[in-house]
Amino acid sequence: MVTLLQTIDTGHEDMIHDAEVDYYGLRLATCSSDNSVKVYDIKNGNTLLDDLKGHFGPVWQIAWSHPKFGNLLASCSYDKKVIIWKESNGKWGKYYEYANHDSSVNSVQFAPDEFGLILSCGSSDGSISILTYIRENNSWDAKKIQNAHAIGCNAVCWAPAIYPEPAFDNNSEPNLKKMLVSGGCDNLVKIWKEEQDRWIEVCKLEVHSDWVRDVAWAPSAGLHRHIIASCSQDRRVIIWTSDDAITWNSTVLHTFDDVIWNVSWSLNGNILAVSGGDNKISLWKQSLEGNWQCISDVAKGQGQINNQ
Amino acid sequence: MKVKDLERTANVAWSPKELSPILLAAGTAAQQLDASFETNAALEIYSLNLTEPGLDLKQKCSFPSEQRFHKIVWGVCGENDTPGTIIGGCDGGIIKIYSASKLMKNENGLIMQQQKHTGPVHSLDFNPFQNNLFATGASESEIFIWDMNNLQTPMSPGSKSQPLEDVLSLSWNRQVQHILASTFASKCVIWDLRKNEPIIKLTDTVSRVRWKVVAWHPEVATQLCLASEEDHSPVIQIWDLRFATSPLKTLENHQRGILSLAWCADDPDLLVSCGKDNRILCWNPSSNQTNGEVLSEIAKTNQWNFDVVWCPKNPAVIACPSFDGHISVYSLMGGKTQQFQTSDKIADSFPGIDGYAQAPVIQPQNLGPVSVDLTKPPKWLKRPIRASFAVSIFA
Repeated sequence: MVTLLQTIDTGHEDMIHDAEVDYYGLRLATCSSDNSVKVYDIKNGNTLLDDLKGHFGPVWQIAWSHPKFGNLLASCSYDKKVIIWKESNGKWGKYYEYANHDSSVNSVQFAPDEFGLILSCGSSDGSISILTYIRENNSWDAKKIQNAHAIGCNAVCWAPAIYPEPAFDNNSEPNLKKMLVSGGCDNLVKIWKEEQDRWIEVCKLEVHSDWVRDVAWAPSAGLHRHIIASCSQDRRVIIWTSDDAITWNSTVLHTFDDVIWNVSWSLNGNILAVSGGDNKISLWKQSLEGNWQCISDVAKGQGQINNQ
Repeated sequence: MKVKDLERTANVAWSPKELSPILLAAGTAAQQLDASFETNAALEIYSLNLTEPGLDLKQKCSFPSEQRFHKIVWGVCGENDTPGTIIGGCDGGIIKIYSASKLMKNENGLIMQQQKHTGPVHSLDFNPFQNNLFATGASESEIFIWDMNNLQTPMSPGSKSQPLEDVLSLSWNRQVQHILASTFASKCVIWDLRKNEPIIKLTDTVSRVRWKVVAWHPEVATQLCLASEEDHSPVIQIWDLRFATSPLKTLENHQRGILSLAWCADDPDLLVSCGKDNRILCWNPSSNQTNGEVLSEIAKTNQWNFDVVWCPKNPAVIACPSFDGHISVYSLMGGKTQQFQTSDKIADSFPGIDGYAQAPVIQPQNLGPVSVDLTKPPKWLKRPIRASFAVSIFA
């Protein structure tokens, strides 16, 4: 069911930590321990568009913004910095640099575009920063959630902007609350909500027995049900479901043979990709009865194309 | 960054990797007196509870003991899911064996007490492969290998090495199960337990070293490092047994003798040492820089830290007991450190002592927050694999 389309030899000199395709599927950005971020054009042959150098340590994650804000790419690195790069006239340059963390920034993600241009960053110093772009002054406002996780936050993910059901009272304003989920080295998954300019912790989910490596909030499928996937060093992937985002129920998707590094939802929230330490990526889907089944298994390196 | 603090003068051992949540066992340290001059000893177990903010460790249980401990170790033995066994080496040649599961239920956890050694038992180590075996070392070059299944008659790895000295540190090889390293002040003897005799004896006659601790490389079976507590040559030497005439590398950055070492089992590029210069340093032992590459200075305290222990389950965390009556738990993942002024309890109990000269304490120059990070990211941060979905709109 899964076929390999392309293999790109990136030319990175060290381990690659993330690869993300942009909104339209035209560009691929990769980041690596060699301190650089590379951008490729994947529509017309795999040409290297630019090599972005500006970090002084391994770059852990990259995120593309929604195209309505322009071509923006955010990267976070072990050197404690978050850099937002902007493309103008085919060349990429630094648009904004945030250096207010005390140690490695492990994760970045742009918020759903309905909220504006907002970026969240999780760091090993235990705090999460929310950077909001203020159009009026062309500046960025930074808010920090201190001590979100003891000894470090490994992943942050935004909740999709869900419009509430039209109430009987059609005059009430739609309440778009910004919500975040984060996972850290204290084995916890925490849900945060923005309440009048401050971020507060909604709840603390404690099931994992080892570091939570990644969290992912499923894109809304129109149903009023929130789903979060979290994966951990304890080799389990846990699916959390809730109706109100305040009380959550957990189910273990599966216990794997090796550490799970990453979970990622497909764009309509149906399929979950699980990346594990044994170099395996598996895809999971919920059946009609509610059980999670593995629909495919992509072992790394399968289907190598001879590039002569 | 200091994450937790405990006011005890004790030797510590972390719960083994298989156990969750993470616990810390603390046995009152022998040869130390705290401000109250109490000689009561206890073995206590604390929970690390990183999920709670704040600096406190939560005490799970406390069990009094007649003797105080020179060293404690925690190993898992037997079937899976047992909380394991804690072994303490005490004065008078006594070793005490506790069952951790009984201790946590607040029952009498002492399984057995053996007094086969002469002199205080300074060193202990569990065999990482055969977890029913552990080695103990005391004075007069005595080393015994015990089997948990038969604790009456310990084995000796060979004839005692002459001249008879205190066995300061013991460590089983992390790759080969029958190799044991034992350190004396002037030599390090490597034993092969299948042949029951020493196979190599390391000595360094060139520099004036007085060895204190030995630690094997977690991945390379023939490499180990030795630390010297001699103030005039406070070095850590990395030896490779294939070229056993002189050390492979020398790491020199401590200003006074080194009291303890720990090599990270999850990332062989991280080695932590603490010494009489009040510093805890993190090294990269694989680097080829002259004098060794110091990745970061984890802490600078007021008193000597006499031990440093890496947490097996959470490799970002180390525990360091110190002579000022505190056990500090540090995280290597960075963050702001406040220079905590741990009060000197002994001075407090003698009012009016301020006018007297105190032991020279290196005052930290600036008490502002100091950020300590490793210059190189540890292995466990490096994500090796990731998948993400994309949509291609244009056909």
